[in-house]
Amino acid sequence: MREKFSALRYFLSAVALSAAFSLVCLAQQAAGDKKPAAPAQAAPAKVFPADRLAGMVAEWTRAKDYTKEYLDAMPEDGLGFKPTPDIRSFAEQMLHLANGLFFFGSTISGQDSPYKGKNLEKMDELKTKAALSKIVMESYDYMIGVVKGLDGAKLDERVTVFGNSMPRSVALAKAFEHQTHHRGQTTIYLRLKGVKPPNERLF
Amino acid sequence: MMSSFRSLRYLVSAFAISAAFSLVCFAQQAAGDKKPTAAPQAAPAKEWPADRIGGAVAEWTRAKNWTKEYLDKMPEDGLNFKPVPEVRSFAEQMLHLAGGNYLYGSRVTGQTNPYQGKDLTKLDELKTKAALTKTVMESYDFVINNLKSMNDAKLDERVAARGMNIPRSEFLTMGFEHQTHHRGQTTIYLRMKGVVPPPEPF
Repeated sequence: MREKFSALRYFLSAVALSAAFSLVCLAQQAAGDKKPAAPAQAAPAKVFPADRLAGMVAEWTRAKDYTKEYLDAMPEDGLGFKPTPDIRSFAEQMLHLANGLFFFGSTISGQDSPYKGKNLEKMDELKTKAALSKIVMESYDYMIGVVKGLDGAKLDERVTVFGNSMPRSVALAKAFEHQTHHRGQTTIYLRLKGVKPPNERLF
Repeated sequence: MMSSFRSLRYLVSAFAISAAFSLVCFAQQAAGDKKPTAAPQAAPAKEWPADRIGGAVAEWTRAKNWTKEYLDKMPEDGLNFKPVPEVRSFAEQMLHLAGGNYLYGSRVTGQTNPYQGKDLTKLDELKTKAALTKTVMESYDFVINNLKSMNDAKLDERVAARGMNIPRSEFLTMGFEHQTHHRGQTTIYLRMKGVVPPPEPF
């Protein structure tokens, strides 16, 4: 008898709690419908980094992850694929992208690239899925390391790239553009190999 | 006689100047071989705008001109070309790019998107070379002209989007990435139509 009563009490508590949650939920929905100036939010808003460098590290990390998805999506037998004979293969596009990151990273930091004087595109030993993924990820890590080594003042200092003087922040933007341009091209390589490319991720 | 002497003098001067230039050239080559920390430069490096808005206008103008070259290179009969059936045609890629410019541009500048609620890729009347070029160029002008009315401080203002407060400058970066990504894809469309794509302008 005592046990039964206890069970009933638990049951009633559970119903009450459940009802309370429903009320809170309904109240929140109602508040949401009225679009108040400061709606109650369950989770705190994500915060975009306050300083420019942290924002850049976040963007380069996103770019790296996005490219990794492309590398993962292409099957091993697609690495040598070219949509037309006179252009770069998938692997060569990715190695060209990596060349660009080492080049810009070295120019922006003033340090020699670890692959100085080498054209990665010509190195056939890098044209396996494992080696290709490794070197391309390494090129992003190199660039992210360069960005982390800067500070706000250095971002505005000028560097000379191809005879043009520009703030480091602009050289970084051009480096970013270069990898976006070549990754973008490989979207169509994936499609032509029957692979659905990774979704664009702008956040 | 006088005139012949003058000619000779000009010739000798020309030789002297030419020799001097050669010497400078050799000296520069020699210096170049030694990789000095501050190599002498014949022409001064091009100057980059001092303010961020000026720099952004320069980059978006370069992007606009580059995209124009893509539009110019694709023949009229290639506008509906798709490498595989399930992707956007060349015209649709370009219209998607234009839609992105308007969307991100309005977030950056706070100006109303004139195509709010419209999907440009569905508007068949824009899929001729003339109409497509006009629409795409106008989308770049929307960004560029509105940028010109901003200042650097406004770039750092934050606006709410996707549950975050994001600096206006960040939308500019993302908008730039978006158009680069889609223009990049159309490089392969051009190749598959037998057209050599425009070189990357720096």
